[in-house]
Amino acid sequence: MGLFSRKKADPRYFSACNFMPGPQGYGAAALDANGAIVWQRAMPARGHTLELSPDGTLCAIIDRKPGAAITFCRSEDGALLNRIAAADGHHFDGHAVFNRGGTLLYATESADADQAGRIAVFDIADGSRVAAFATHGIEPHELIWVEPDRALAVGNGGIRDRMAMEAEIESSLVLLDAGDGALLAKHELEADLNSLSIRHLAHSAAGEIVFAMQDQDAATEWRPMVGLLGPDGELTFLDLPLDDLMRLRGYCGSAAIDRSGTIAAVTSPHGGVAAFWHLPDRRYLGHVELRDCCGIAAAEECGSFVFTSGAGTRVLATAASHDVTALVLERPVNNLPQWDNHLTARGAGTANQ
Amino acid sequence: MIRGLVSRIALLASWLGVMAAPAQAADFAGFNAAYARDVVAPAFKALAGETKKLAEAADDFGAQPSQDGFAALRVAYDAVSDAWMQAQFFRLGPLGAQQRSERFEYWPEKRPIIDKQLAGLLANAKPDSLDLEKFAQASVAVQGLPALERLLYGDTARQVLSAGPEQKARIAVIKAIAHNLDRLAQQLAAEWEKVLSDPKTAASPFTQDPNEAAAQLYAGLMTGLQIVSDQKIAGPRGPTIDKAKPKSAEQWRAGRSLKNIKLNLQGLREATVGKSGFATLLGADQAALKTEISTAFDAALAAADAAPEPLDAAVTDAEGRKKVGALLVAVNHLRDLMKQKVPPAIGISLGFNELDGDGS
Repeated sequence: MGLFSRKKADPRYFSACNFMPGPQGYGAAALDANGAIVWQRAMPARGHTLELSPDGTLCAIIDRKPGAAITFCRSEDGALLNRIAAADGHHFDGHAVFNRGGTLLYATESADADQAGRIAVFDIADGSRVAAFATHGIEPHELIWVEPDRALAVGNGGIRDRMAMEAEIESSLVLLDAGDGALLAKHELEADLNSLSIRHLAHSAAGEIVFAMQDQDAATEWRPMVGLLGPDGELTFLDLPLDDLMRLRGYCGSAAIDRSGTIAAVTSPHGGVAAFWHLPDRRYLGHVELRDCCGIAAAEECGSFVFTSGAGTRVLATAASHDVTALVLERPVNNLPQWDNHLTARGAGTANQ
Repeated sequence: MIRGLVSRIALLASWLGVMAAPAQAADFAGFNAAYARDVVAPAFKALAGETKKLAEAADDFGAQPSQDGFAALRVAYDAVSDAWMQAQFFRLGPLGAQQRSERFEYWPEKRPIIDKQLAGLLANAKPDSLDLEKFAQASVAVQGLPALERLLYGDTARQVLSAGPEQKARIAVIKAIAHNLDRLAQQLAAEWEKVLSDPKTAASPFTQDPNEAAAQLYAGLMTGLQIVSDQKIAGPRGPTIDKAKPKSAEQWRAGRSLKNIKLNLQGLREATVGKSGFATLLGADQAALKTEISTAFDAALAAADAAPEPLDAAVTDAEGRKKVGALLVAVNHLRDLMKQKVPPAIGISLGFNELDGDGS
């Protein structure tokens, strides 16, 4: 491509996946908007999220919790660039974000012994660890920028032991100063909601943080599954009809916001549905069914999302003002590859290659 | 577009040098119909037969409370529990809807609410709140087997034999739970009978596509194995003896914890290598895998037989823990086999995200 070319980069979607069931099938792939695999690579461990650098040229593949490594690849062809290992006695938690300049990566990590959470900061140039600061909670999961390069929001999942019989956990949503790690705010849910784990985050155009939760005790009560933290620091929950709430089965796997920044979506692989809201009106728009759907990312059009299934299918959902429509993009006959938890979009024109 | 992707995947898989088993021309429609007829429907029919007897035993006891009547209630409770242990993994369709599974048995108890809510119900056991329709809307904590277990096997269970207001309240709640369980089981049996009555629904129960239905039916078995491993065995055993949680064992008051594991494993084995089970989807050239599955089930059942009763005592005893640990290893081996080797061999794909929680 010429130096003065105005041609924009094509949209791309990135996800960890399984090319065949079992550990030998672990991998990652990039897709174009039509579902064609642009590149794929085998991975030594199960991935969780692929995070794109702001200019779209670099992708970080973060291992699934308890993650041993973060792998850096060229986003054009998946060529391996570098791999960084978790610190001794710690593991990665599956999510990370780049700074605006694409020079630093901030990743959530937990101590093996007690799940104490930290944000580890890496220099992209050489993969060195330049800082680490506490998340003021245990088992941090997704982190997003609230203010680029200045403030991070982190969901402290708070689950010490997934298989423990107790419902009470120690989840929180914290805001941290990205420079020195200072705690800017810590939000916890009321006592009767203490079985909810705040895990997945997205940022709206109005500056709200959408947080999607998982209920460690989904049977006894129908608790809210999705909340909003307003710029004023107020916590509210997004309503939906009881039938639809029940379909989420107390488990949200991913959260996303559309290109307009006004439509929020969450997926529930347990319930096989994705649910959508119009944020400015706090209005529930409806749901789309897809077995084992988890990955979701904004598509090119406002109100549209692409989402992926662990059984191979990819769907384009469009949430309009009063309903939601779905279009199956791909339904591979052998259900492969199986798409893992998160789908990341790189919009058209993000990078000028 | 779809054909293009498939060919790319085939290319990719061969490129990785690990081609999945070729997509078989398996008759999933025929399999589903036979599985529904020979495996799922009979399990719910058996359950409904036992809950009917339980409801009758509760009514009989209510009409004339007696030691014999109380013993008969316990026998009926045990029979319902036995049948439930062989039906609880058929979650596709009615059992997975309307919280039927949790209403039948809310377990594990994630927060200590059953005793509290049951005490509240006994203190305020008004006939209208125990009406079948109303009771079905009550907290899942009081609707099913765990609450009934406390009324039949708890420390104060025998109060139901002494005349007075407490006896009246207990009888009313026992009857409400028994009839609620019966209604749930009758619904489950009826819905699956309906599935069988139409060849179209039998070919693809509660789903659009026969392959999808088979995958979801199989996922139910995997969830069952996960619950046996993580919750029924590893939960009470804990990582170390000082972290053992004997009271986390299932139905320990009734002394059923280990029996439940055995019944689960037997039911899962039937659904896999029994008549019309998933192994019928294996090709003639996959006899070795079928043998491997049978061997893994046999090993798990043998390990369960070797574990000492009762489970809640075994997990706090050094020798007992070894046996329970061996059971856990055997079940996890079976689980790995069923999760990794079997799905590609029978031509289905397990959901990647729906079964696992950690990490997501």
